Amino acid sequence: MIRVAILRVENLSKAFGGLYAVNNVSFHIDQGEILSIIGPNGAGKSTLFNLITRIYDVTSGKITFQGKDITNMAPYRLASMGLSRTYQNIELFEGLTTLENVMAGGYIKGKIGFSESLFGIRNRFEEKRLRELAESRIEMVGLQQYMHAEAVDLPYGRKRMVEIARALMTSPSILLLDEPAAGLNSQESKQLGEFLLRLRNEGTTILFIEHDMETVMEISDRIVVMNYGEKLAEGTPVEIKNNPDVIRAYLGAEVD
Amino acid sequence: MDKINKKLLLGVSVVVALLPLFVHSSYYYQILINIGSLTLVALGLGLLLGFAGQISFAQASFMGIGAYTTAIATVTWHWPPVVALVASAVLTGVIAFLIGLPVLRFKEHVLALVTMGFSYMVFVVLMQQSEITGGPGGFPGIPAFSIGGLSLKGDVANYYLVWAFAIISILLVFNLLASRNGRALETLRSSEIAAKSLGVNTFLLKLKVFVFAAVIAGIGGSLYAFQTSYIAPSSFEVHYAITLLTVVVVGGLRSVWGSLVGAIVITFFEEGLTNLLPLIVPGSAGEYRLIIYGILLVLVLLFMPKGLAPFLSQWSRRITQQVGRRRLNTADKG
Amino acid sequence: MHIEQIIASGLVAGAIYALIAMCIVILYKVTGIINFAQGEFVMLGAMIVITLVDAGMNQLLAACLTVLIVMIISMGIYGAAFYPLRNTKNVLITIMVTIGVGYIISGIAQITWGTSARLLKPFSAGQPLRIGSAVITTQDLWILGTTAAVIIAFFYLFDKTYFGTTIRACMSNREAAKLMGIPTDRMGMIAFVLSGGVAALAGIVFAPATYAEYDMGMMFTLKGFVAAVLGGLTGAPAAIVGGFTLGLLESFGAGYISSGYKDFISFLALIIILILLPNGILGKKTIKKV
Repeated sequence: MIRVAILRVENLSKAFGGLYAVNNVSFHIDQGEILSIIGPNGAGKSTLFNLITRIYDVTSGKITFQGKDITNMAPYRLASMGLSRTYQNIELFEGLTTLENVMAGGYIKGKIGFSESLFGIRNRFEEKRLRELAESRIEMVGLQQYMHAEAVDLPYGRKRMVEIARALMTSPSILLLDEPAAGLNSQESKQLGEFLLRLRNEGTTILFIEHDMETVMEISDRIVVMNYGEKLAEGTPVEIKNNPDVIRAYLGAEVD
Repeated sequence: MDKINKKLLLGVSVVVALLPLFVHSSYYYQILINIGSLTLVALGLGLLLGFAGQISFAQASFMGIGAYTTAIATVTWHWPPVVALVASAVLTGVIAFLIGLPVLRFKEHVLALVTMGFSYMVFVVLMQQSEITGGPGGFPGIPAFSIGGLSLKGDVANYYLVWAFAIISILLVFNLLASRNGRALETLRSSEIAAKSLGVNTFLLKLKVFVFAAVIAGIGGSLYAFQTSYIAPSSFEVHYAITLLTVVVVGGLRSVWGSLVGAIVITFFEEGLTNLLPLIVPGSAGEYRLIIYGILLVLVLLFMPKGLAPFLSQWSRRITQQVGRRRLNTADKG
Repeated sequence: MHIEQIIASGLVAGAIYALIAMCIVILYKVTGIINFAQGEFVMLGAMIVITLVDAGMNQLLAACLTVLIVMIISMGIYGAAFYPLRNTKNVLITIMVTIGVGYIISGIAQITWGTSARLLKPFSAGQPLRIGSAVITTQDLWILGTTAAVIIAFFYLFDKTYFGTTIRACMSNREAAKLMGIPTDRMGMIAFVLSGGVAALAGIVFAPATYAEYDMGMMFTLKGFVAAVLGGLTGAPAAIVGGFTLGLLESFGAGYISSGYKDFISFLALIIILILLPNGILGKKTIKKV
C-alpha cells in the first residue's frame, strides 16, 4: 500500500517571549492513518495544533499539507483545503441550535455571495441543501433528538459530538481533534473510538490529542509523545508502551 | 425568511401604506419620518453590533457623509437628485471600506474609541471646510427629491420615500440572515476562531457588514437632506451616534425588528421630553433631557439588556398561548 | 510658533491627559470597565471648586473639599451603576452604561450650574516663566507640579504599600487575586473612588486655564481614553506615556499643520499609531488560549 504523507511538520518551533512552547518538533501523518499526540500537561500539544491550524504563527519550521506549504497561510483557508478541527474548550456557537451550529460548518459548501444573499437569490435552494447535509451529519453522530435544542445547553459529551459533526461538514481529508474524549465516561469514549475508526475507514485521516490512554492505545496506528515542547518518542502503541523514556515522563499515569 | 417575520413585514408594510389616510398634521408626519429614518440608519448598526459584534460610533458620521454629499451634489454641482442619492451611497461605501480596512482589526474598546475618533474627524472636516460644507452654520437650500420630472416634495412624499427604503432594507437584512453569510455573521459574536476554522474569512465578512451598514446610513443621510433641505454638522456627531446605539440596544440587539422598535420608543421618548415635560414641570425645557436620557440608558441596560423586541415577542407568544389554552377549555366544556 | 512653545504647551496638555488616562487605566485593570464618564469627574472637580471659591472659601481648602466631595459622589455612582456591572463580560453594555452615567452627571451639572461657562482665577499670581521662546504661566507650573505629585504618589502607593500591592494584584489577575482572599469588589470601588478624586484634581488645576462648562466632560473622557490606548492600557506608566504623547502630538499638529484641525490630527495619529503598534506604545500582545 502506498503511504502518502498528507501532513508534514518539520522542525517546528514556537516561542512565547523566551519560552519555547514547541521546540523543534518534526513528524508526519500518512493518508488514512490515525495518529495521536500524547504527553503530560503543558507539553505543548495544543500549541502544536494551533500552529498547524494557523491560530498561532510559527517561530521557525515548516508545515506542509497535501504537498502545499501552509506555514504562513491564513487560518480560514485551511477548511477548503480539507483540514478541519475541534477545540479543547468546545467552541460551539452560542444562540444557535444544534442544527444551526452544524449548518454553520457548511459555510464553504455554500456558494452565495454577500450581495447575492441580500437580494435572496437562490437562498432557499442552498439553505435546503445545507440543511439536509447538516441533518445527515447529525444523524451520523446520533444526535437527532437534539437537533433544535440550544447547542450550548447540551450535556458535555454531546456538545463534543456536535462539534465533530460540524467539523465534518467541510468534508475534510484530515480531522484534528483536541482531546475529544475529555469529560466522557468510558462507554462514551469507547463509542467515540469506534466512531473515529469508522471515519478513518471511510477515508478521513485523523490526528488527535488525548489523555485517555485506553482510547489512544485502542485506535491509534502511531503515537507521537511530547514533553516540555519537544518530541520525546514516536512509534506504534506497542513501541510507545514499552519505551522507558515515555514511562519515565508519565510517572504515575496509567500506561498498561 | 421564516413565516412569522414574513407576515410581520407584510403587516408593517400595510400599516405604513395606509397610515397617511389617518395622519393629517405636518407635525405627526415629521415624527413618522423620523422613526423611518432612524429605523433605516439603526438597522445597519444592529446588524453590525448585534450579529457581527462590532461596536461602531461611526454610523452617525456615515449618515452625515451621505447628507453632505447629497447637499453638495444637488446644490453646488446641480446633479439630479437620483444621481446624488446614488453618489451618496457610493461615496459612503468607499469611505467605509477604506476606514474599515485598518480599523476592524481592533477589538472592542479600541474599536469603540477609534470609531468615535473617526466620528470626530468627520465632524472637524465638516466644520472646517466651510467653503464646501457651509461650516458650523450649516448647508441650506437642498432641493426635494425628484425622479425625472416627478418631484417628491412635501410630507406624504417624503414619508413614503423614507419608509420604502426602510422596509426594503429590512427585507434585505432578513434575506441575508437566512443565508450562509448570515449564519457566518452570527458565529462572529460567539467564536471567531471556530468560524475561521470552518472557512469563514471573518475579517472580510466584518468589512462587508461595515460597508453595508455605512451605505444604508449614507442613504438615510441623503434622504434626510432631501427632506429637511437644511443640514448642519451638529446633527451627525457623537451624540447622534450614541442615540443610534441606544435605539439598537433598547430595541433589541439580536432582533432585526429591534431597530424599528427602538426607533419608535426613542422617537416617542424624545417627543415626550420636548413636549410633555414642560407641561408637567413648568418652565423646564432641554435641561432635563440629558438626565432622563442617561437614566433611561442605564436602567434599560441594567435590567433589560436584551432590549424590548425579544421581550415583546415573548409577551405576544404568551398571549397567543393563553388564547389557545382558553379555546381548549371551552371546547372541553362544550 | 516656535518649537519651545509647542513643546511646553504639549507637555502641559499632556499632563492633564496623563492624569485622566491613569484614572481610566487603573480602573480598567482593576474592574475590566472603561469608564466613559471619567471626564465628567474632571468637570465636576472644576465646577465644584469654582462654586466654593465664588462663595468665598479659601482656594486650597476649596480644592481639598472638592476632591472629597467628588470622591463621595463616585462612591455613590459606583454602587448604583458600576457594582451591578462588575461581573459582566459584555463590553458594549459597560460602555453604554457608563455613557448613560456620564449623561446623568452632565445633565445634573447643566441644571445646577446652567449652560454658561465659568472661570476660576489662577492659583498664584506671578509673571510667566520664559524658557527660550516658550511662555509658561504659573498655572501651567501648577498643572505640571500636580501631575508630578500624583505620579510620585501613585508609584509610592503601588510600590511601597501593601494596599498598592493588592491593587496591582487585582490589576494583573483578578481571578487569582480573588482566590487569594483579596476583596476584588471592594478594590473596584476603591479604584473608582480614587480615579474620581484624581480626575477631580485634574479638573481643579486645569480650570483656571480654560472655561469650565457642563458639557466639557465628554472631550476629557475621549482624550483620556485616547491617551490610555496610545500608551497601551497596561498600567500607570503606559497611561503617562500615552498622555504626554497625545499632548505633544496635538501641540505639534496644531502648531505646524493647523489649529482648526487639531482634533482631526490627534485621532488620525491614534489610528496610524495603532496600525503600526496594535497594542499601543507599551502594550503587550495577549494570546487567547484555545
